[in-house]
Amino acid sequence: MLIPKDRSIIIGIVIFILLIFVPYIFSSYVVGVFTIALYFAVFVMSWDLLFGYSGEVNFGSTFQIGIGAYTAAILNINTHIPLALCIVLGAVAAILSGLILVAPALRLKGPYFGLITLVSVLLLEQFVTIFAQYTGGEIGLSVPGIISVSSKINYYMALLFCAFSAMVMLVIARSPIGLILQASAQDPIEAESLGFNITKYKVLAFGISALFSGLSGALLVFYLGTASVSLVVSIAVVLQIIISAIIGGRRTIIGPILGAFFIILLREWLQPLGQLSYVVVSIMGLIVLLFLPDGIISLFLRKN
Amino acid sequence: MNLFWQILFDGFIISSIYAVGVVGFSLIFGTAGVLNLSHGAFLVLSAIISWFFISHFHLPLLAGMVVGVLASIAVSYLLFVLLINPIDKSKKIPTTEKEIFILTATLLWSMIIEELLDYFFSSNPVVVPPFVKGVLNLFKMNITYNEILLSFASILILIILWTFINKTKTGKVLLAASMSHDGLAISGIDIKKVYILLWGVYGVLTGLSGALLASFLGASAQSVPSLTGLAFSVVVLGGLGNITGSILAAFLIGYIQTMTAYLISPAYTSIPAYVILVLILMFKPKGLFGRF
Repeated sequence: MLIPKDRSIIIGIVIFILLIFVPYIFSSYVVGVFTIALYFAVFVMSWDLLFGYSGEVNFGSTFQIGIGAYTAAILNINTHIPLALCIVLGAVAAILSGLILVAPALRLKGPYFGLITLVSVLLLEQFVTIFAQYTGGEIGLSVPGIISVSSKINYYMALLFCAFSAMVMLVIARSPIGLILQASAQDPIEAESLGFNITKYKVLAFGISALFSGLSGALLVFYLGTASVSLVVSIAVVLQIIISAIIGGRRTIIGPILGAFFIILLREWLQPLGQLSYVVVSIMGLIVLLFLPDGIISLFLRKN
Repeated sequence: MNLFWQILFDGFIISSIYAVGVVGFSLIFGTAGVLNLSHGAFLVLSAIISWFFISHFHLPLLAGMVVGVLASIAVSYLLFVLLINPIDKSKKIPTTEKEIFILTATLLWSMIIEELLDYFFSSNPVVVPPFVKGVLNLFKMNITYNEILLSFASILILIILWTFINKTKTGKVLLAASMSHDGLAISGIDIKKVYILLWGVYGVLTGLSGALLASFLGASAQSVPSLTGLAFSVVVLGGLGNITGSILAAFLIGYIQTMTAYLISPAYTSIPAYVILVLILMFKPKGLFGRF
């Protein structure tokens, strides 16, 4: 079951090198799409760290992403603190709120944990609508702050951020922490009887996942200039994150990057179909799920 | 005092409709171990199909509902044959991860139904026309006869379901399946036939309750996630796989929502219910009456 990890790192490096050349080959519109895909890839990797390694079904990624994004956006609109600080504070808020609402639920098993995370997203959605004077309600917020006007600088920022996140998460996943998490996913009782405090490690994994989700959410807001429910909170976003992770190949960290690009580029390509594009993407997702359950990355790894 | 009666009656009506709406979700988890995250899509699908046949082809109300139920049964079997069964049988997917695969697959299924409904019928909410007209004046309150009828119909469906599962020979197989699949096999019952029965019953239940729900609240493709969320919350609160628990939990959530709507504001309807759900799970991690 365990996929040889060295190969997946080589694949990661190859992807990184290929991505460096994107702005020299494609138009600035395509570069923009790739930028979004890079931020999205961080969402998916964060999800994979928590699910792939600790086996927790998390429907709540957009709770952290949304809190990070909206905190940063609201700070940017209402105060004069620098942009970088807004982003950091957004990430801090994502971790704290996650620890308060969701981390206690890590003691719960499978579907019960899943439900708490799902409810956290539904609650956040409600609060955004209720406090519309601060959050812009269903229309969303436009923020004055912006990372850069140059599409190239934006792209390389996103690329560096994505590569950095991937490195940190890979290191964690391959460290003893990752191994303990995997052990707890396979047999929680045995792992606990070996003397590991599983909940502690799960909270740690959750915190790291929240950190990167929050950071990426905040960065995405300042890249696009808006924060809205359909962009960073809604369940549909969670769904795309989960599909991307599975399509790319869960429990590999690199696979989710492939999955994220696959989904974002496919959606872009299918745009002329309008609403039906979601149907096509979902059907593709189901096909991969059924016939290639280890994801796209398994195609590259199997040849070994 | 008037407010008290209003909450009591309205709460009862909405709770009984919720109960019949979520009982299928509970049944399918209890017997087949499937958390069907496309449950909301099933409800909205049958509601919209019923509405479409009633308003565009001028079918009588009940005939329209029959078409809705048939659509629901068809989608239910499709889901089983195309996704649930292949995932269950797949050798490529490790057993420990089947759960997440089924969750993801049903979520995708939900997305497909939702977007197709949105595409073909637009996202405007549809309301299945009332079954009866007229208003009852009771304790200075206005209750429409339709609401009363919907509530009675829901209770009746629940009673029929209970009798079917507990008193008939065919139904008892479902009860047995919820306890032990191995036991069923030893008694010489083909599990395949149980699944065919189960997904059929599920289709009928979601089909009927979808139309009832849409006659009271209306339905649109956009209400799919919140309906699935509702079913998930109610069933987990009652304890996964415990049908009686689900029905009690439906009444708890229904009344909390009604009280919030009347005493605080209709805009906040679902918030206290969610918060209470989270709190209960913190202290009773298996729901109020859970066995898994």
